[in-house]
Amino acid sequence: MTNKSIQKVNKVSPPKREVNTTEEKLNKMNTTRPLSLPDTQGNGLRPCGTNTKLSAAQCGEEDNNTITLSHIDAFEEDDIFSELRSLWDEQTRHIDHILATHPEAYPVRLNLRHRRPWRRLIMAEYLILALLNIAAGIYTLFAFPSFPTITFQTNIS
Amino acid sequence: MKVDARQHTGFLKMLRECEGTLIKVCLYFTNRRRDDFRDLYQEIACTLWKAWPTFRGESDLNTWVTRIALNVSGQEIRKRKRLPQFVELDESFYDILADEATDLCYHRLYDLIDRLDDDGERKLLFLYLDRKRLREIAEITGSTETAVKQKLYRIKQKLNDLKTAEDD
Repeated sequence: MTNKSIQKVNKVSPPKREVNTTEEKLNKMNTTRPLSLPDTQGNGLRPCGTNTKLSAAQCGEEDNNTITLSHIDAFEEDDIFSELRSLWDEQTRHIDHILATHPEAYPVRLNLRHRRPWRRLIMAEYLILALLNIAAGIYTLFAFPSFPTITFQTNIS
Repeated sequence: MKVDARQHTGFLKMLRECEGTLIKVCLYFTNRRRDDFRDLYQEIACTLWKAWPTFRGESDLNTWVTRIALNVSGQEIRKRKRLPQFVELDESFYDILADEATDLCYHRLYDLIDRLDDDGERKLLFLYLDRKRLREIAEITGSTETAVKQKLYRIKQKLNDLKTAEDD
């Protein structure tokens, strides 16, 4: 949680006092936990929409009237994610270092010209075959307009 | 395709700016094999080049690039699943990013991540690890912030289970 958020939390948190009246006791039972309280079970953020009642802040939802935890950094309290993130940051630093120190030496370079030319070749082949077929059909139609009739007459004789 | 010189320069500049993100995406989605890495990088770069004229600058450049890169990676993963599986040789990405000290880091990092079999989960975890904001993640994945949080929570549980199973 950032310093700003902590300040907001301090402002929002109501001062603790004894619950005196019955109405207050009932209200306390029916409401969810105060927005400023962290998850007491130590699970960090918990998902919304489950059967557990969660306040907007615990869900991390943005709400103009409440504290916002819009950045999911709240997960960082958890071991597995923080461990992965620290390793990820190490990787990022390493990559940035390589890119900064060897901007032209990185082995992967964009090469648009030689991108799988065989695919285009096959497509071109199909296209040429299709065009030849059409051309042959048109030629047959115009060169031998009476071709079917001749065949018919030949059969009769 | 006619190439406008200004467009070309802009594209190369964009590629340079987002190269770190592209490399991370390629490392994340390719099991760190050199050929796969190069293929995926090439595929993403080509897709970006095709889509570059349509970029209107309405969203952040890095967000736009990440979204395209993740989509292409998803397609490539699906494609690769249909192909026969190859045996991984020792020659891997280590000679690209060769450094003995970082080998262990990468090994530890991807040891758990590689066991996530769901593409959507892998994408989400990538975005989370890459410190994208919740709104950005929702924008890139095309879902709501609440849904993203739920899914991240489930991923966390899954990773915890995997780690526990490994420890046992």
